[in-house]
Amino acid sequence: MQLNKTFYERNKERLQKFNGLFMTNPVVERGFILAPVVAAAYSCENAVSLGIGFLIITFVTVMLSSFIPKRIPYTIRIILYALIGCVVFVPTAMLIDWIFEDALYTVGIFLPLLVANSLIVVKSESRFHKHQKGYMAVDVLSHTIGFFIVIMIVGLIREFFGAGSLFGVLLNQWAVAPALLMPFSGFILVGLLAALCNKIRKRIEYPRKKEEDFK
Amino acid sequence: MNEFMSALRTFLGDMFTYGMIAIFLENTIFSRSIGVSTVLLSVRKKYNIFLLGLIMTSVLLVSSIVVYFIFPLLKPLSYSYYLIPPVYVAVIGVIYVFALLLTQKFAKKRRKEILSIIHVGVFNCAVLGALMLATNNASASFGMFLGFAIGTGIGFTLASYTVRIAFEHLSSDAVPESFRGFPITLIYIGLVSLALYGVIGHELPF
Repeated sequence: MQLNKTFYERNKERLQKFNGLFMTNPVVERGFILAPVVAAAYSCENAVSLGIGFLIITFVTVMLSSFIPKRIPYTIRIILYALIGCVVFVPTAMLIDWIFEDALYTVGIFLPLLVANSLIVVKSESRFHKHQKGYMAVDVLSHTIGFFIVIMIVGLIREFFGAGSLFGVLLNQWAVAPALLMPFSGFILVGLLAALCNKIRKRIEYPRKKEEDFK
Repeated sequence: MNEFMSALRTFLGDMFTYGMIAIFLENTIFSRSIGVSTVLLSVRKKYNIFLLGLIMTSVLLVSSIVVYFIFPLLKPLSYSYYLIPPVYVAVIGVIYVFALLLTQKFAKKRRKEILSIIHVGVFNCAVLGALMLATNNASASFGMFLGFAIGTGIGFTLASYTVRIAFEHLSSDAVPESFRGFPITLIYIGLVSLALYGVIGHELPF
């Protein structure tokens, strides 16, 4: 019977901490942190800036905030989490400014907004802080990398088909639709990606279910 | 007296104009997608959207008054970009604590309901984002500031309602399973956003 099971079914428990990469991806499965992906990830440079920003701010903040004692009231803890995020934001923004010259200007308010993102404000308490430090680190990292992958895919598609370039290098002159750079295209693209991921997720979770059952 | 009336008229005019801008032209949900996660969460968990919107509008109103007087002190600093997030988070945090205390003391009928959603309404990207957007317009008058704050709250409520009325249909069996719920809701928000983009008078760039 064990032999008939798929790799995912056999290792489901062990793979739990990597679920943030795909199975419980914060953007396409949970619908968190949509603003930077939808409104600001219209170029690869923006996507990388926000992806790096999110990865550092969220990972360091969630890890540091786990040291805040639980006897402090929930309200104060949440405020402290966001304030830790603000402290981490400073070196992160400086790093991004050093890597990409105009990045802070082009990503606008979306980088500072990451200090109060849903993984810090909501998921820290309801998910991450419930585990041991080692497990938590891998879990948070998988969620942040999951976000990075999605924002990169969205940034690549939108820049390639919206502006005809990748990282500012002109590559595509035959199929360009500048409307892809607008926020409404971001919503529709992320919606389509979420549907595709849903389909794949169902296939992984229920490999023996027939095609008709998925409709 | 005439000067007072003229100043009042300007104040109300600014407030109304910026309120309308925040509701329609720069709706945080449809034009910048700031707070979409909060909208989706509130719709999924069937929170009272109007109560949530009222909490958010009140918090935005109070915090924007505070920020209006703090911002001129931050603006001249060369490192203001790094200082603004912690200051705004601290302002929202203090108001959050006060809002909780007020609810505990004065709310009788809906205390339980308010307490269950207040953290969602106060501590989210839409509130922080609205404050940042308001201060982006550095020359804004007090009326513009207030109008933008109230308009953002109302805009959020209307956007949430627009999503709420469609969510049940979008989660029904009539929708293919892969699209059901969250994916099709995002596409729906995208289409409403596109419609609003057209209504405002923009032309698509293709």
